[in-house]
Amino acid sequence: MLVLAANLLDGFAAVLTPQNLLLAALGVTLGTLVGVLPGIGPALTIALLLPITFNFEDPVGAFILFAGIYAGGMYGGSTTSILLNTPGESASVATAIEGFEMARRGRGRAALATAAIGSFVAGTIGIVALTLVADPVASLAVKFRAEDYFALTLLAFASVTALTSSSLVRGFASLCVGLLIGFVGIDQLTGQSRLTFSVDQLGNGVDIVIVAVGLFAVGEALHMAAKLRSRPDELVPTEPGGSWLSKQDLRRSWKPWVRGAGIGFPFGALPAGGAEVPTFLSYATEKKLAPDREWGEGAIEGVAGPEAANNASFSGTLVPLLTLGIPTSATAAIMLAAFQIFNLQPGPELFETNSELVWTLIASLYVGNIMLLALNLPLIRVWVKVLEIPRALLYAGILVFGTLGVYSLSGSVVEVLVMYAIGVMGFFMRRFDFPIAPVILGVILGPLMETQARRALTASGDDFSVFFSRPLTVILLILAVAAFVIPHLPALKKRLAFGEDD
Amino acid sequence: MTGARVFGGVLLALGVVAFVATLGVGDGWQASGPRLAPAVSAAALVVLALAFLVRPGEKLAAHVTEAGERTHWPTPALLVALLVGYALALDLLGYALATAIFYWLATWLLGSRSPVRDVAIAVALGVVTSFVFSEWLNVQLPTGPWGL
Repeated sequence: MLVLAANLLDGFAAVLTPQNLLLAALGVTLGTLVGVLPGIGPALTIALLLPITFNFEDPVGAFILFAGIYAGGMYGGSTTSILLNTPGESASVATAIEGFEMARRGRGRAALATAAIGSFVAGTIGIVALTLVADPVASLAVKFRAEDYFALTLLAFASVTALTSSSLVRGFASLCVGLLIGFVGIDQLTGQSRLTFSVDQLGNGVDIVIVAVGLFAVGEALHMAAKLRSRPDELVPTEPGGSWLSKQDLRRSWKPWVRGAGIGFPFGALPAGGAEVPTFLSYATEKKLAPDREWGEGAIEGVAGPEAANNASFSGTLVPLLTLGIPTSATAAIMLAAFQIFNLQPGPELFETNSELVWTLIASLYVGNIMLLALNLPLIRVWVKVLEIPRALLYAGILVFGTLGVYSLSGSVVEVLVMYAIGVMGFFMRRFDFPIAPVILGVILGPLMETQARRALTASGDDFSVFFSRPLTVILLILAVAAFVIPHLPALKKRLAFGEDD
Repeated sequence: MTGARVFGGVLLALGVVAFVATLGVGDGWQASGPRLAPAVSAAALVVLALAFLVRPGEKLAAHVTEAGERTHWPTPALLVALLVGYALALDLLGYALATAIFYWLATWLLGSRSPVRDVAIAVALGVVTSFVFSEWLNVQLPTGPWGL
């Protein structure tokens, strides 16, 4: 316990330098901005910033920036949900249900306030839990062998794919596309080139920045362009009215905040992550506990709970990412890529070799969370103004920055064209309801899964029984199968059904 | 649903091409070799694409079918053409000029009807980003024949 406190204090000492505080402030502001803007989210933003952070001498600054963007993005989505009823991320869909009703009935400020303070409360609970859990999990993970890591990546694939898609066929097709993109390039173990089709530029593989920018920026812009003629060009945000959080609102909010945090953190922390399920679970829980409230007409519990769950699940996501190197969301997958750029491999070793970095990152979360609270409510007018930027200017700008990001990464037009091609595919995937997150996960985790599997198989002399000979591996494989099946059980599907059209 | 079938066909073709391409990798099917993982992924994609082709509309969210009926295809097609032109123009015209032209045309294509305002933003965007990236962030961007 004492070691923990000392580590954390060292972390705070490292964060509280002018430069790092500035990066944290920049991160949460940028994160909130992209969270507020419909169509772009934290995953794309971090991917776009990766080429720039190559120039950072110190990886700590880059991660403080990224953590701020992730946290800010989770929060910013709630503003769009409440004022526009167009959730920026699927994790904000539950918030929109009651939040938009509150805004329409002139209680927008109370909804924004309960979302902001709830995010802060749940975020803090989540970070405290992360602080306490990270080190023990990391020391447990030291015992993991290659076959366990293989089973763990399968679990992450199964759960993320099953949770993000309405059809298993489409979800796993997305995953396979991602895996194939991930395998392009020279095989690290044997030096053979795979799936490069004799194109020199593909020898080093397809960078995750290219995939993320293509799928998120170009795919989304094309999607917007296709439906341009069929919907009104500009959306008018509801002016937030009414008073900020009244005493009664606070009394009704605080329990949902705490419950939301309790639901959100474990869901994020299990390698079965994503924030969609906990937000809807929290919504359903609050509805069940207080059935006599004005549900469907702006019940504040329906904003407080899901927003809290959303933010707590973000802290939870960092547990498998930092301790095991297993990302459980698209944004976490991009953050893993960032670690790899700085030659850092998240996992139990990170806590020993780079414990300073880990604790600085965790300390920066506390700081970023306070900044979010301080920034958001006072700046709400600015965020509303941001929502009024014409879509055409916004998307043209996203395309320019996406192209710039990929070009500055490689200095070659070929990579830019590959990115556009992936974007066209992303456009059709959106149209035909193929989820995007499994592609990103496949690109990042696929090579990792293969390496671990081959390491285990080499050790066992190509004997597949190595995956069934240890209880831990078997348990993880059973969990993977369960994660694959459970979301599609008819009874559960019905309960989660209202989340399906996001 | 024809559109979905075509896309399913593209996925199927991707899977088949990838599978055939992996057959030349390594010198056998041993489990720890470089061929197995990409070959299994490609084969799985073939199977999944076939399953999708059999029932392309299965559990399709309502907004997807709705969007299919109201698609205006020329806009995204033109946008792709514009992007390809932009990529090719980068080395030819230099970053700042290519970006300004692309941004201006893209905003018009995406429905903005204030060309004067947009051209001002476009020029500012091209000049400022190329300056910031080459001067502050040490990213080498093409300057084009006029050194812009």
